[in-house]
Amino acid sequence: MLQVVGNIIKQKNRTQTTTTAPTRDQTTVVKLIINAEGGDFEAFGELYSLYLDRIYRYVFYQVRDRMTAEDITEEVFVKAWQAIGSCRGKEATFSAWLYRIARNHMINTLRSKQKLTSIETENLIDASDPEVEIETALDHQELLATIADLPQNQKEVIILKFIEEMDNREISQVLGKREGAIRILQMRALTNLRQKLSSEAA
Amino acid sequence: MLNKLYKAFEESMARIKSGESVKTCLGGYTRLLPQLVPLLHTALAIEATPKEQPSAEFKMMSKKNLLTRLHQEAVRVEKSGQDKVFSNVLWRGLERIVTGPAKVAIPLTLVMILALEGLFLFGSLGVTLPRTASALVSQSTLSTLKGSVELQRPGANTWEEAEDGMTIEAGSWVRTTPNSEALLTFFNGTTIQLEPDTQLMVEQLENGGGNQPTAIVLKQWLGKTMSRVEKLADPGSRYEIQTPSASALVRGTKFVTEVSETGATKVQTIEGLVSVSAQGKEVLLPAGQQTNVEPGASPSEPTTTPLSPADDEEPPAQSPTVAPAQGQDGPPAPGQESGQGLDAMWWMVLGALVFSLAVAVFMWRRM
Repeated sequence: MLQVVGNIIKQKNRTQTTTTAPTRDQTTVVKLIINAEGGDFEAFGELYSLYLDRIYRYVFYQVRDRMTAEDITEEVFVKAWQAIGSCRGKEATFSAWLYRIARNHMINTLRSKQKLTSIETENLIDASDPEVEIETALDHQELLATIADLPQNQKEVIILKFIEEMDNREISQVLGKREGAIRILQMRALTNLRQKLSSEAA
Repeated sequence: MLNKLYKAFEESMARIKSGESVKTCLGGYTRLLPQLVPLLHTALAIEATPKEQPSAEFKMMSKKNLLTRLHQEAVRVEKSGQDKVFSNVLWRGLERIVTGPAKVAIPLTLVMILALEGLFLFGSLGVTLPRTASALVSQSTLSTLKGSVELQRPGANTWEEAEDGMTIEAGSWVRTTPNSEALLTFFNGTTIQLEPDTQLMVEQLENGGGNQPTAIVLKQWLGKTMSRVEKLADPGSRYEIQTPSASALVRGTKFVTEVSETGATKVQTIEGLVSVSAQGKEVLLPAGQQTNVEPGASPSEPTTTPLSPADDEEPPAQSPTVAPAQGQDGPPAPGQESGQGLDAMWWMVLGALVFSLAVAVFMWRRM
């Protein structure tokens, strides 16, 4: 099973390199941020296009509701625009800064809505892909549902590390914790998740 | 131990992702295998999960919506900045008059005060001033998002190129070309975005103000629109889109209307609740559902759209509770003008008289 999953990862990596849009180099991104700080809407629009998928995904895996995730994502970028001046001099950490805005806004929104995790079953399966077997898709569903059941800090670290594929330094910037604490949290979250999945399977 | 395990975990993950086989990677960690394997298994399973993507429609619309919002906000900030500068200049001018040469200051100040009182008196006697400020706030505007948008003013027979930010009124027609898009922003903040090749007429615009109901009625003849409706404070308020085959009455906040060349209509609710009627039959569309209406037929039974499932926890707003800002902008409600409004006016006149007397005494003593 482990080897199978490893193969899926390799296959995904190969697919991603051919199908996803080419990512901008850091210099171009920094230039866009500086232009946006100067009030350039178009530059901010470019940043929006670059980060939309990532912010949406980060929000979606926590709220598990498309409409809520879309609303929160849109507001995150409005807030980012309003506060873009505070990013001056820290352009290199723009991504972490954006995730932090998303995190704070999401917490506030969900707190006010008292809707931390929707238990609604989402259709997360890409029905257009005939290669995705129903069984695998159900496994994914179960896995995502179990991640959603984790304590908030464990859930966040799992999403940032294994779905957003951030390194520990970036995660520490988003969550405001030290890297050592992030490592411990990861181990704890994975162990916890493993136990939950095993008990569900039993 | 935990550090060692974490190091082994990170290294194995990196090697597996770079293409090495799991067996090779685990070879060097025989003592850690019982703990390491389950962790790797779980982590790799998460990474293998298909990544959720925002829907194509959201991606398409949201960037435009965002940029429109940012533009509007920039205009608002600029305007409030200008207002601040204007009030600062006015205040400094008044200060200079009061603290300037007393011989000039006293008569000038008295003249200004008398003029002010005169205005109040006229007001209290029923002479109304033009409501320019109110009218400006309650305007509805047209923004050109892309390309060239055309407008036909009420009563006119010819189309003219619309200017970005121009005001629109009831009876106006707006149309987009195959390469253009427009956004209408109504007095209460409600917006409707016109996709390319869309034509609509503004049938009715009623900004009741205060607690009075508002009405925005549009006739969409062709094309596709996306409406974002501000919550309607008064139950009598309505936002309605009429098409050749149906009418969509909104009780929610976000929906798409599409009219084909044959007049067939598709309504899709993204958020909230929309009532679609045709041939005497009404269909209620909650979020994530759509209906089709063929000319001369009644609306089809609602079907689920791939956009968004309805949220059971949060029922659509049938009776909105939060009043939009429109209440502050409109004329006072009937009853207020003749009773309490008049008393307040007299008190203001009295206050102004006392104030002018105090200023005169103060000036006299300074001389």
